Amino acid sequence: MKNTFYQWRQTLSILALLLLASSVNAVTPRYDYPFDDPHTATVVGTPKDWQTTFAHPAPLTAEQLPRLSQLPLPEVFWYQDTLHYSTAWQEGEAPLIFVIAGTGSGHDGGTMRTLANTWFDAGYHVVLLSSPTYANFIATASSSGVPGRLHQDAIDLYQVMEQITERHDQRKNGKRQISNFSVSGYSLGGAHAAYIGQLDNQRQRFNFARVLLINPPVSLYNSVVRLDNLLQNNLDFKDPTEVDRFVTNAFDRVAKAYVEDDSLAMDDDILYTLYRKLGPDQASLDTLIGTAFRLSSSNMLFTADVMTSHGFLKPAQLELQAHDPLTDYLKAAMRISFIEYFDQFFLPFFRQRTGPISREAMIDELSLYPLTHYLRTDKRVEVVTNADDLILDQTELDWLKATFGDRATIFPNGGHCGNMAHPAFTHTLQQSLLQLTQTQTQQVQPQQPSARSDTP
Amino acid sequence: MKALTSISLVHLSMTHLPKNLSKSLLATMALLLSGCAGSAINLFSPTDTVTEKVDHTADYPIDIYDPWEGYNRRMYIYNAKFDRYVFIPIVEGYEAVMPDIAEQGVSNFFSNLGEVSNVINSALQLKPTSTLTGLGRFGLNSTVGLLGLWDPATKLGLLEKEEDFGQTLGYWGAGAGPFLILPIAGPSSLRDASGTLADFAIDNQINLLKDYSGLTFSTVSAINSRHEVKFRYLQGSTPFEYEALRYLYLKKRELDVLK
Repeated sequence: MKNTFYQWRQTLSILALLLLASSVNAVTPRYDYPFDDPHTATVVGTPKDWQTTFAHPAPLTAEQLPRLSQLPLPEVFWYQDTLHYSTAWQEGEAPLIFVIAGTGSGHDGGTMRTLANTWFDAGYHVVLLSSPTYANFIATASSSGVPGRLHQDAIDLYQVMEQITERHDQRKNGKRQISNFSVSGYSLGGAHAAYIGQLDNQRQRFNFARVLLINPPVSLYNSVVRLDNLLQNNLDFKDPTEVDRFVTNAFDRVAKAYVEDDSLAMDDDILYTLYRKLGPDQASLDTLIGTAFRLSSSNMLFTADVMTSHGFLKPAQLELQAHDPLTDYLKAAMRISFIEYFDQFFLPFFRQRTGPISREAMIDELSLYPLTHYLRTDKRVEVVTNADDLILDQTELDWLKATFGDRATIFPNGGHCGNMAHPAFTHTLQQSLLQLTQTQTQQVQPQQPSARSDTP
Repeated sequence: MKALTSISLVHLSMTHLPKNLSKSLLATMALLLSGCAGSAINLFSPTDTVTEKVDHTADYPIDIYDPWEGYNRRMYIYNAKFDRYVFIPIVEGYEAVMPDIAEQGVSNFFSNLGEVSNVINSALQLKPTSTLTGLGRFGLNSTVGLLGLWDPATKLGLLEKEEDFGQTLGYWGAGAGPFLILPIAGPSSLRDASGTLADFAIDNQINLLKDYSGLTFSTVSAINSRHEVKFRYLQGSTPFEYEALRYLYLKKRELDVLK
């Protein structure tokens, strides 16, 4: 009898433990992101089996605003007559979060959809905005036509955000009220969010409840040079024969995997599937990251060059027509490194436009450093990033920790934006907004102790 | 299928496009898109024209045989405008009116008719497994699947093997030939456009629907095809969309032929 009672008690305590464990689990998901190599993480992202599943994905709608730019629209960009963005609205009153995409990315990319799901699930209205470096944004909303000066980009984005809000107020007929505003962005969009937060402290239109930076650069110049080096260390884009060999080889390997495997489907998990089949070495991964970046920078600099008639790729006087072949411009743009673009287009353009500025001063300006005081003192600003983010070095990571203190959450691995769909990351992003009314404490305690940074 | 309207060409051509450009294998290859010029060329003099900045003796991965580029680019713009002002509004109306399950039924129905072409072309490419798979799918889906409205074959693990006459020509050694933008239907090549015509001629001969198909049939077929393709023209992501799509289309077809 005593024995039975003992067993009973034991069973009960096991049950209680299990219950406790599962409730703990519900609050802070275990951080088990699978890739320790940041290059792999950056390319492959979060494989399906490790992704957060959302019961109700954000019902995103594509929307358009009339063009805001005062610059004339060139014939070759005839289709850039509206600014594209996406929204997902809750049924009743809710807080709203603006999300800004990373370098060269649009409002409707995969990472943006992940972030939309994350915050829609937390009860937010969500507005997704393209990066100011995205071709559509440059052609429709950039006041100078050349993106990258963060404070100016912030002014352009702010104007877009005001217009979207105004339009919503006119349309909503008393429904879908906005209770308060927050702003976030990943990668370059994180730096933009910081500048927008500071701008709003002056203009007071939104009074953001939260400004959330995800995997931001600290120094834009350093980060971009790092990404560019991933490419330049492996593949010389000034040598077309070498590039041709690389691309042909890569295609052949992908083709072989595709032909051999009947089940290889072009679904959302294709990158992970290919990664497992092909087992690419680090040089290939780096070339891929660098090429992707080079491709988006080509889009950006050709668009900026045409919008400003600066004469960088296209002769200043030449007016391209809608049906003119552009292949040679793509070829020419792809060989331009970031440093070449910076020294031979960006810097001269702004010197001409806004007056003399030294190279060093411009590099300093393109960073979070001018915002140090704001980021250190304004408790509404938070940062979430990874210790092995490819766009940061140790000094910059330490600077983030020192500046944000307990408002920095740093995951041990995940590369650049690789772990954004992991439940622990999702949880951190949601809690950052949901705990707005509570005292500022560290929100996430991933179960592995190493998952937390030591805050100074 | 007596009515061979140009609009129903959409079905065969559009389905060659990746269904989700953003996250497909093709996006992976898009990352490898372009090569560049010889380093001796001075890139940055404002008086240069771009042709002087490119090494015309070198092979670039992005170079595609496109002798009809002038016509193609104009047709591309025409298609983009047709899409924007006519096609997409119709498709959106269709999506608003139809319950999802009915959309899926329509999609399955046309996919089942396409099984005829899969079977014939698999046979022509001496692929017994694909031929039998196609026959099995057609038999099962036409009966248990209520004339193709449902797709029990896929649920049983009999996955569709898409084969068309363009792939058959490729299998027997025909290259893609010049890149070609078809009216409304979009990206193709001389080989694939000929293949599309051949597939239509074969369908016409077999006359599976016993002359019940007319203009309505072709229209619904076209709307369904466009509904299945998520791609939207000129959303402003890149000024080089024509180059990107031309490259991706032909690479995708290379893979289709290999498979």
